[in-house]
Amino acid sequence: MEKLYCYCIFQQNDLNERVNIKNKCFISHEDIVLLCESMKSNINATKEGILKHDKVIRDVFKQRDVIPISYGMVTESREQAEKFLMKNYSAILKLFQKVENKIEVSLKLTWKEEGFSKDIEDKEIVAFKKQLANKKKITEQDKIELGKMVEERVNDLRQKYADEITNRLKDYTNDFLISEGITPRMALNASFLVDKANEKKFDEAINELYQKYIDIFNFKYIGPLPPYSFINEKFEID
Amino acid sequence: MVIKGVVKIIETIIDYAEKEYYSKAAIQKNLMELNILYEDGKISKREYNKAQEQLIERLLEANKKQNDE
Repeated sequence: MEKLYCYCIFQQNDLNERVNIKNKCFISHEDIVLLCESMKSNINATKEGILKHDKVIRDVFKQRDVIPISYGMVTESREQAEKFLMKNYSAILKLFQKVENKIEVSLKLTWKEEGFSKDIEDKEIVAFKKQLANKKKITEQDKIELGKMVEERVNDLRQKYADEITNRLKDYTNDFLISEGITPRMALNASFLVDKANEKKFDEAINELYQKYIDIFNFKYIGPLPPYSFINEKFEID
Repeated sequence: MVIKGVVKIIETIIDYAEKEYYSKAAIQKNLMELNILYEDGKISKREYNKAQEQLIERLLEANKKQNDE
């Protein structure tokens, strides 16, 4: 039996408009296609394998809406791959409806060195720091207390900025996700699902936000990406 | 004016919390983000290589962890 390494799934409504990817295997069911590659041996988990996986998905994404498959998925045979598509056809179609003509963009805001203290230190924190400065000895308890105050303030500000920014972008986005994956200096790590028709307006709104927060944050605005953050379904291969 | 790929990169490209550390989808997304930043000339070859190595290491680790479970 021939094992197949899987890259992604895309839709093929018109047989004349084929995806231009070389040396790959296309397994279809109705209008969905699983892009895979024949494996002569067990999969080798290597750097080259990962980079190839990434490149194949990027190449397809340039041509089609795509549902990326996690690195390392292998079917035992062509028949198993066909069965997988058949069994999950409805669920996969629903996913395509969700991401059709859409891209993901990510927005990461990091406090600038100079902006951080200015933004974080509210009256309460400034007063407490003054109080500490007048003490003869600063105890561990004092430091913990200050740390807690700063942490609370940072979290409050993160929420405030997340609300402000998502509120400004909500008209041009179909969905968004605020990630908990943040570094201490990060104010926001968000992913947005944007209809291609709204991409320009979304970009303009981002530029507006950039101008508004230019003194406070470093911006990382990255895209277009396949909708990684908005596909959470897990499919089993039996 | 901001364009995609963007602006001043001070901190490392790999931003994650423990929760996302082993998320293969999150790592794959980070890899793709990294490629965009590099192709748009927003990070140096050195930054790109370093971040790429770290992401690949994480992805291999996540893959192994998944296979072991």
